[in-house]
Amino acid sequence: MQSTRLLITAQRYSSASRINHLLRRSLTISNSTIKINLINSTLSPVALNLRSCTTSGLLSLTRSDLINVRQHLPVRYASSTTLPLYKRIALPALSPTMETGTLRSWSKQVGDRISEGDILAEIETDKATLGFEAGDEGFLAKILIPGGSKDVAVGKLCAIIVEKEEDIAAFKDFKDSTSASPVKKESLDEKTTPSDKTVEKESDPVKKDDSTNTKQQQTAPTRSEIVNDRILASPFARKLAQEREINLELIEGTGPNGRVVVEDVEKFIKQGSAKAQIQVKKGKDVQTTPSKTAKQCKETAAGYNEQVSELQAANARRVTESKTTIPHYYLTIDIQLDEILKLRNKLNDKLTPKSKDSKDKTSGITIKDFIIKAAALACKKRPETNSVWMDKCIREYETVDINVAINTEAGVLVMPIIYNVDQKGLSIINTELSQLSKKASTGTLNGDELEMGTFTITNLGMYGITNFSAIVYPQQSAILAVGGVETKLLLSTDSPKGFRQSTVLNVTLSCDHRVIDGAIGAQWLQEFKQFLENPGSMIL
Amino acid sequence: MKSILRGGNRVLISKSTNVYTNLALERYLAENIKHQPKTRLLLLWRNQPCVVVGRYQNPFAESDIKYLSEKQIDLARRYSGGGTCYHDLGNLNVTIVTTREDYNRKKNLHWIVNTLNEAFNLTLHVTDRDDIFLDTFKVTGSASRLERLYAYHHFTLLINSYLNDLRRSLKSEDQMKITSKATSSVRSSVLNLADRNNSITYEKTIALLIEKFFQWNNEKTTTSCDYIDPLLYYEHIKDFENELKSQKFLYQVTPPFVYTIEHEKQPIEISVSNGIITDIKGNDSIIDKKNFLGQLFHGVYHNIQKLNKT
Repeated sequence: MQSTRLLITAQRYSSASRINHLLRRSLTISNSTIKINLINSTLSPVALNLRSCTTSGLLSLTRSDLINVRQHLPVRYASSTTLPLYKRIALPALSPTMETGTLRSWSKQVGDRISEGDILAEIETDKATLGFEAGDEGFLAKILIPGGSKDVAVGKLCAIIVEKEEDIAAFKDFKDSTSASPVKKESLDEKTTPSDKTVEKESDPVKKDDSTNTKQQQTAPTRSEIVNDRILASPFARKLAQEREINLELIEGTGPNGRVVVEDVEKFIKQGSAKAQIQVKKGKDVQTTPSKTAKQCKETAAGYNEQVSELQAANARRVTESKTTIPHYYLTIDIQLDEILKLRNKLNDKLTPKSKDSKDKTSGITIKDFIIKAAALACKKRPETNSVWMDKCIREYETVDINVAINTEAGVLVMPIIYNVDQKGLSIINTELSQLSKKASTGTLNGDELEMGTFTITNLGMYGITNFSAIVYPQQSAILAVGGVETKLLLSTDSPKGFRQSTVLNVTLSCDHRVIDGAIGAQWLQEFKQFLENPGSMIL
Repeated sequence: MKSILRGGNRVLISKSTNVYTNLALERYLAENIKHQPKTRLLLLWRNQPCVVVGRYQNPFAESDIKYLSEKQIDLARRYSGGGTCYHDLGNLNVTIVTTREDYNRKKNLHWIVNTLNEAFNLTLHVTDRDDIFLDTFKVTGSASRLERLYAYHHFTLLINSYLNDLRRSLKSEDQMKITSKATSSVRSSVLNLADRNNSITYEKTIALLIEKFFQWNNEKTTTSCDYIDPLLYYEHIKDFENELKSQKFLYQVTPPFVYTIEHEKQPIEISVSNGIITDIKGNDSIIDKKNFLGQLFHGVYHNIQKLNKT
């Protein structure tokens, strides 16, 4: 296909050196078995003073003749100095946002003959199974990604197909030496490179004929597909897509008749199409830049690359999303815990003699339980803090379900949930919390227990942190960061000495400003402080 | 008889409630209808209580096999990927079959969401993972199968299902014991649409979808809607149906896994590949390997459970 373009371009140039260059390019692309009576044997470069001989034959071809030439040219094959012509089969992308897939099984073995349309392998990604079919004929020479391989990157080389059976042996020890090159060649989805758009226009009429002969399995498959399609899109969406150099084909239209509207384009941009875009746009450059940057990394600082686990990756995504989308602000307040401590001791005295069960190692109610309960009640008083921003509306949750951050010994941060805290008593909260802590340390928390609630409490006081500001979680609007407990001297008019000792706790409430105004956030803290300093008010 | 395979925008509703029959019918139709670009086939069906696992999942990790056999709940594996779901008569299955080029899951889901929100005054939304959620509850799970010329996207819709049965069936104690590269389900809390709006029924929903389907496809003729009795096509679908019912497809196609049990305080690792126990690692003197090596895992599963308890 590209060679046709080159031949057409060759026609347009008058300079012999340019023609030579272009001819040489099409030579390397095509193989030499063209059965056209163009020239004696093969296309040969032109000598400066032979302008009118062999190339005139080429130059005098009409467009339809050039198309004939094209039909005899096979699809693009790669070649190197030692290996015979071969075709690279890379993992296809099924959608613009697809990054990895799992190669479940190979339906063909090394040495098998491949016919057009044969299924090569079964791929699974994103809840879809795909029978990945061969684009062309040949023989399967080498399998680089074995069946059962999970999380294979899109575009990664999976197999090699050769034209001739005898070439199979040459690939016995073939190794993939290229860096992760972008999808383009064997991609089955509908991408076009913006840089090739101008070329497309001239090759479109050529493509129309081609597409009737070869179906969708050409190496440059994308170009055939958009010819007959008019993408429905609103004018503004079209403009926006053009500005951002996004192909409208990639965007799902949710407007009438499947029209692409501006929201779709914006969503597409957010969805990380930027990644796919960069791969598509930079074209050949990408092959060099990863290796370049890798090299640079090697030269600057030595370090140990620890693979990011799924949990870490998910966490990273979540906190990034939080910090970039939620407008945070922070309110901090000191709380005197003296009354609560007195109450706690009283309650624990009442509780412990009753438990005669030797297995029950309850440590009694802790300050944390009081904090959780007080937070829930404050949320009830200020329902804005128990809500979430949903673009067009603010959802006010009916129940107060609190995620409590627990740092396990292994170093993993988990946030198990306690449901309906506002309706639960302190002892129940205490029991649940200790159960969850136990499960967290043994890593046996199940999915239900790790659900997202409506509010989060996190605590770093045990590390001596006096105060800190936490990050609000995406489905919530506020998070309470509990610092350490300190004994302070406070001015007191009641005391004869003029001061008294007090156990003081510092907390910081991080709020989403879209949902919680400064005044509301401050009132929440006031209520919270009130509950803890006058525990009796929790009953009201 | 052959007209059932004609192309165009059509709706077919299956009269069968047998999961194997319906899955076979789905595949038969997808492979054989005269696909026309820019047209869709809508298939509506529902099943007697059953659990359907994704193509590359491990049924032991996804459901309580013992409970299923006790309650005579069918276990099926479908051809498309994704996670496990529980079907019963309160759970509507929707399949949209198109040409490969017209495959677009998000479009399908947005159509459903818009249709249901408008008609039943709901606030459904589509998530990144192509699920439909109502607030924080999942009401739909999607999966798809792509072939060269066609693709189908199917999804469930919880209208009025027995959620307790759902939870009980999908609870697997073996989840912790199994290590494999099989696809694992992402569990979510579920909700019936009827719980949110108690005027929603199965009958109303299918009537609504049929009406809106033709509108969605800008189709003037709204009469291409038929009830289909799969039994009439038994000859054509029996091969698929038999495959779906076979022990081989149900169990042996599971990706290789290692099943770990604790026997007399010692961990024993049982490696299973293609459904057959290929290796047992653990204290040799304790168990009689002969009885297990080379056996079909699902065949000796009961005995393995017994070992685990001792």
